[in-house]
Amino acid sequence: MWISVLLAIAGLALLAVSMAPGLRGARGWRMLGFLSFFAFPVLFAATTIQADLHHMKRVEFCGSCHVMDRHVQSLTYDDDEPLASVHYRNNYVAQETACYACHVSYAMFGGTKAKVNGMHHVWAFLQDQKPRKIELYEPYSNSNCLHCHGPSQRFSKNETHADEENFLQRATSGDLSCLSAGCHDEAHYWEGKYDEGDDSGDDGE
Amino acid sequence: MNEADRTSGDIAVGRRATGRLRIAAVLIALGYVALGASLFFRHAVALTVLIPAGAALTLVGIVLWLTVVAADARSRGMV
Repeated sequence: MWISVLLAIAGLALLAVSMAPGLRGARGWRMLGFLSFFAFPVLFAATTIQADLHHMKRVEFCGSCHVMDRHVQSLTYDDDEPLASVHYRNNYVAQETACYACHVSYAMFGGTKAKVNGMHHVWAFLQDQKPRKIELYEPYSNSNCLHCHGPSQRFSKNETHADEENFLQRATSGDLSCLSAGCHDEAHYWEGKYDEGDDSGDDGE
Repeated sequence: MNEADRTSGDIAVGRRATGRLRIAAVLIALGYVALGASLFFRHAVALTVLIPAGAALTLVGIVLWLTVVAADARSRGMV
């Protein structure tokens, strides 16, 4: 981040110098123009946007919208049943990017799709369309689980998994959902989630 | 093109170019501000506005500068 700040200060100073009266046409002005009107702005934009995109992977970014408060807090819930807290507390996924690790597809345009979905969130927020229940746009994909667990010996030799007919094939094809088949259906949990009248819990997430 | 025409052309291009360069400098400076702000205001809504706005300002500023460079090169008969 501080590299970007230094680039901005240097870039603005160069712009001011290159626009100084009487300097135009002087020796080296074209090079100064190239640096101040092209090289520094491009370098600054690239480093800044890269830093911003990196920040967007962090849990604190997901939690910057208050509607996600309980989901973020559920990461530290002290129970070995909810998937989010198990993965977060045991560092099965990098803690600082836990949301991103589980909710963004590992496929080629997963990150892009996540940004588009994020724009939907912002649009809904600006339209004051806060959902009564936080839900995924589409059923959770097994491929996100299998990306890490698939090659794991502990996963394939698990008794419940081994007892299931064609388990890995069905899980890979999506016929058997990891989350909604009654196996790992508690993704996030917080106190009072299922209290009467509280319908803000997530469904099959 | 004789020498007199070339000089008056240079002056005309020079005036237009200075105006465009000034606008380009302002746009790029605003781009610096918008993108720089995105490093400090990292709420989802702020980033949704600041990143596209900063990128667009910077891009338009650079394109404007390129038009000045191209016009300058044309006036000198380089292209």
